[in-house]
Amino acid sequence: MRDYLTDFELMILLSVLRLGDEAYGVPIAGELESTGGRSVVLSAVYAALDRLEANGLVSSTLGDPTPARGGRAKRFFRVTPAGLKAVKQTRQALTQLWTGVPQLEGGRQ
Amino acid sequence: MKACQPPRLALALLERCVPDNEALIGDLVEAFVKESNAWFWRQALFAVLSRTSLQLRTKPFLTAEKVLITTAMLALLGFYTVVVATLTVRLIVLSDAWLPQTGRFQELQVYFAAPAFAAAIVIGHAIGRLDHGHRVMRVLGCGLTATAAACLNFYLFVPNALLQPLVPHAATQIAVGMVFIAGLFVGIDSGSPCETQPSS
Repeated sequence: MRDYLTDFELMILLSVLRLGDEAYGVPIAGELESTGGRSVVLSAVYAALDRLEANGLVSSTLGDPTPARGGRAKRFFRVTPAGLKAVKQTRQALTQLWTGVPQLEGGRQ
Repeated sequence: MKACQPPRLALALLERCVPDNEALIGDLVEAFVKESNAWFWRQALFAVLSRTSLQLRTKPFLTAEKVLITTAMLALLGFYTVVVATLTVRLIVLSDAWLPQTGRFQELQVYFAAPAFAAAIVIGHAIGRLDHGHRVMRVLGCGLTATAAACLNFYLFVPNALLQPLVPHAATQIAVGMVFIAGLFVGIDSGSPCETQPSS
């Protein structure tokens, strides 16, 4: 497994953390769209979530089927302790890269 | 809230191609109330493409894909073989070396198609049983057998084979060779122990 997350994986994990108990496909995609400013393909979100689950960074459980979804169940996601650790490690790496860059300090362009 | 349902054909496509991802289909149906038909179609097509791509990477080739890819590879290999053979023959002719008499049975070539196909099935069956799942051995077995069959074909049916320009002649011989290769595939699929279903 890689040490650090890709930007898309990091955004998905942060969205799942922000949504808490309501983290399933539609709101996760909504979070990504509102923060990323562009439309998201749901199957790409699921592909990334499946990969994260295979690596033990998220876990999922099926909810009850609802009529609004044509009788299909929701799949709720939670970030595992390993996932939380990966988010923190990625933030630390990004922060280190962020610091000491003159163009990004003191309001200069 | 929109009263209409998502496009039936797109939904059927999803249920057919992504049957095990109920949550994804449910999410698309739920989100569709705020979106357009075009949005649903785009999402459905991406889901199907994504699944197909994943299957190609993680699962053994499907039969149709296997045949298509193998045919493309054989065509490419055939092209390079013809180029190499042409250059080799020119070298032989230029060096004035001994040339074997070929094509003694030219008139009978058409009658050999059916026996060649049957022989290929038998050989393919043997390769399928012997390889025990090793793809490299299977490919090598097929390649060597097909090459031997091609050489025999040239020796028996092509008069003065080494003195003729191979490129226009090769089209006919490749067409004949495809019958043999088709027979090999039929034989291999019938003989591989790793592809048979367990009896219990």
